[in-house]
Amino acid sequence: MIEIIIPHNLTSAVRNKHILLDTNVFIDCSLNPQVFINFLNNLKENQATLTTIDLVKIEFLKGAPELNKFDEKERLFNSITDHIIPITADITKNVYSLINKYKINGAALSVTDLYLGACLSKFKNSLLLLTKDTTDFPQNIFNIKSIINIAYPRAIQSYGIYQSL
Amino acid sequence: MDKLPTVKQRKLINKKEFIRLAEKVKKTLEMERDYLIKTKNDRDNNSTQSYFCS
Repeated sequence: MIEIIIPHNLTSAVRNKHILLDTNVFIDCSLNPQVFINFLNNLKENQATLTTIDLVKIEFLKGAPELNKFDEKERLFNSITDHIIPITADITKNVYSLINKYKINGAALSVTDLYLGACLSKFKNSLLLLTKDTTDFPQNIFNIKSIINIAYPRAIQSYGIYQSL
Repeated sequence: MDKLPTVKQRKLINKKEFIRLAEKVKKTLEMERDYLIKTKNDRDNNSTQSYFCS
């Protein structure tokens, strides 16, 4: 039995916001669809728009061994997302600013994480990030709006909902 | 202030179709994971090669 433990403040935190989904969300949705589908539809019913960036889509799709496997992954991906945020020059400019904020801690960051952070910086008031990668979005740069725990039979995993400071 | 576009019609996910598709994608991800484990071992075994070639 796998259960998503929804915090009481989640509905108000996500209402009318865009939620940027990290690659690990799409992977976990594929591994445990029965659990995640209700959660995702619940977010949509609360007027949240599920969004992401092409870098996440690329991370999710790469490695597909055949064209039909690629198509299946892309269909699953598209069924979740309402919108893809285009990467503009000012978002890339934010990436360079973030590199300076992370300092040495940025050495191990993926480019995708930097772009996710840069999108949060651009859309400070309307965009939240949902990710299981809770070590790469430090609290001196990002604010934790909510924490969602997923109880597995032998483990608990946490997703953070982040916003730019 | 920068604004994101308003998505007026958020499409709810079709449960039956999503679960059917996810089962297929899960198998693909497992294949990719096995490949990554195998290539990681290959890479680790060759990890000092570049030092000796330079």
